[in-house]
Amino acid sequence: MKILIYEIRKNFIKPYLFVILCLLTVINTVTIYDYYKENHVFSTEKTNRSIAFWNLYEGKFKGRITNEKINALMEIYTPLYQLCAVERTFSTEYDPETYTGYTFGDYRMLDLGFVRPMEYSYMYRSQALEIADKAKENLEFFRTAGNVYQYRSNLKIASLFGGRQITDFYHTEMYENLFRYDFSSFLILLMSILALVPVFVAEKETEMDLILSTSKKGGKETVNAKILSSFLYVIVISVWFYMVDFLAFSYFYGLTGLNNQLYALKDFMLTPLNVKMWGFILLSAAVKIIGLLAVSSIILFLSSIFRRALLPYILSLGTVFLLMLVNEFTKVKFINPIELIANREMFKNTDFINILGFPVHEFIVVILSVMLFAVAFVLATKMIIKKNACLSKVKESK
Amino acid sequence: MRDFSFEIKKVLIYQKGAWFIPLLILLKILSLAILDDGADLSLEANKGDYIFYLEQVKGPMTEETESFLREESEKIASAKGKLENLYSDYYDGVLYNQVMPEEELDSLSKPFEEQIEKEKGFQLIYDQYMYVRENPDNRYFLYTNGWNALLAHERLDLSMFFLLLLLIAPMFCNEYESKMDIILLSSKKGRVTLVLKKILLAFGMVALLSLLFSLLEYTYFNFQYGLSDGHYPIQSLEYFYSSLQNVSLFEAFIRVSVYKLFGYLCFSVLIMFVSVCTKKTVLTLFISTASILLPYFGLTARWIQYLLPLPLGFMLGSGFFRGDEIADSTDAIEPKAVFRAIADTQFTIIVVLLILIALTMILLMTKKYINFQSIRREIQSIRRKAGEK
Repeated sequence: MKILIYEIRKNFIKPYLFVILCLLTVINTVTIYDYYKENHVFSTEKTNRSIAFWNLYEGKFKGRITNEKINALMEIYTPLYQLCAVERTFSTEYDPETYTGYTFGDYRMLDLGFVRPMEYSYMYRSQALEIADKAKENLEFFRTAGNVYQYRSNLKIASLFGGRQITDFYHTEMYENLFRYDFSSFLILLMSILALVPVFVAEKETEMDLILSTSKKGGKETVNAKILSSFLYVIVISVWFYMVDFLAFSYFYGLTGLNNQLYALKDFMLTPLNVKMWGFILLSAAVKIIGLLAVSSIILFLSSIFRRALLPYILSLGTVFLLMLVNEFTKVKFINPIELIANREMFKNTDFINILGFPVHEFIVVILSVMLFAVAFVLATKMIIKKNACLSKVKESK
Repeated sequence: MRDFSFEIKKVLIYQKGAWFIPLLILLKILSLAILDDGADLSLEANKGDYIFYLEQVKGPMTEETESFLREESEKIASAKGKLENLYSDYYDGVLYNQVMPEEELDSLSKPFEEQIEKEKGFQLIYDQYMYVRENPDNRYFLYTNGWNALLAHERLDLSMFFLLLLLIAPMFCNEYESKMDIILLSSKKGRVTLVLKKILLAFGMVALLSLLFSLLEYTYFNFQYGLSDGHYPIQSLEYFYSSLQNVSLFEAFIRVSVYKLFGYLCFSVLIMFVSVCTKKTVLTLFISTASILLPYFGLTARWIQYLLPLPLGFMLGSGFFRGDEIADSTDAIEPKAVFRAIADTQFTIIVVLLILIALTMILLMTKKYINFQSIRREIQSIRRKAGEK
């Protein structure tokens, strides 16, 4: 345990790491602000449109979808729709009677903010039921055809989608954008490369590895402590950045409806997960961290091979880019940690993998394969360090 | 001159530059082949027919080309109609037992079918005609795939980026890490001349490599697609449709290459400056990569990266030729700017600012490198340590 603390102190409690962490946090917040400026419809800022939207949302339409609410909304919306979309005879003058100041502004605000999302929420139940019914129809067919795997996967789909419904209406803009935001993961990767490359290289640069290999706890214990402390570092940094993400997005877009279902987002209409928003925020962060740990194990492996910092640094960065390219241009999902780091694609669709005749969720297989990949690199790192230790012992005896 | 060759030897042999350069050139060629997404695949598939039409309308749009395209369009339409009639006649004949012999049908339908076969190629040229028609003054008909692949993207050249890091970061960092800097400073030519020689060597390498990479790109796409008609205006490519620059395609390529060269030179100054300041390889690499990659990946408004006083904009190049681009989607309340053109005054300000920053960096770096104060402090600390023991 002590050795772990020493390793953490040696490698990760450094003034420049702290300064860079602060700087990158600021950069991350600024980037989120920039992102928000480019991609927002309703903000927490005091513009006419936003004030009107939040007043209506908080005062009238938030929460359980009832017939009264739908009727009330339609009462305001229908005449505007008639004016702006059908007859196109709306006035372009400023009008103090309206919510936003302009007739067309009202129409767009109601259309984007209430009508479309509420319609989606209301219709989702029947859509999910349709999927479940189709799956149930398929059951009979696959039973007669004797296809056990397809039978089981349809059974799973039927039970997944059967009970789905969105009973409450919440504004989801913040979640849509939060789940699309990847830049913080890139910052974590940069910080991981910065701190993890020297973990093994620094010992060799200062020729400390010779002394380490002769000391009692310099072999296995030190390597284990180094790997463990690196993982701890990555976890702490990630948790920090993802917290900043969540806080910044809630601040800019407004936090509401943490208890809403994940499939209330159009992007996640066909998600295999029956979780709430807060559940997915936690789950997604955890999956991202697994991906980041897998990349970290590659960095540690590279750090253990080379004697100087230059090549492992460049190669680590190169590997990250290569994995990003592979993720973008090919359809190979397995063993690629980037798939976990940008995990929304993975959770968007319900897919199964046939393992011994049992349908297993694709995302589970992807996560497991990445974990295996990481373990392989950790073992390789251990082996390399062991080999080096033996070599230096041999050199010494000569 | 001799110590110059020693520096070259250090970079190429001891820092393994002689390995890295060919390796990354190879990588560059590979990435050209893999990442080439400029090509319009349907154009490549129907290249023969497309070229047949292009040869007749190539260049600026005239009344003749316009009437030719209209006539051709009508011809194809009428051929389609006639063929349809022919077949319906044939099948009617079958129904009423007056069968037209197969040979007669074939000979009658053949000219129409030949006309229709070229339809896909013609559709491509017709689409281009629709684009050219909007502004015939500076939009010409030409074969676009080659020039699109060469110019119409703003992708960071990662192979060059890594190569510069590999070659330039160790130039100073290695001296610091092996504590060679103290010995060098005590030598006759190890001070200002050495720094200047290192900078000069870095500039020479960067210039050569940058030109080589530009040449490589040009040759590759010339070989792959062909880069003819370089004297046509840049607006002939849809990517630059709203460009306000009055340049030809070839001129744009030359200017992009010069911008890239300038960007890479500034980047190399940045690497050297950071390495003299931090004296650590890892920090040098982190700061120089972050200064490029963070704005590259982080900025949602892509044009801002050309307005920052960083080498990044020049390392990308093409964006300086783009015009305003506004996107309007049904999900957004207001139309969004995809790109904003970089005005000439803005461009001049950024260039001057970057040159000033680079010169200051070189000055500060030289001053810091030959600073006696720090050496004295180091010697004192060594003495103190020796005294303690």
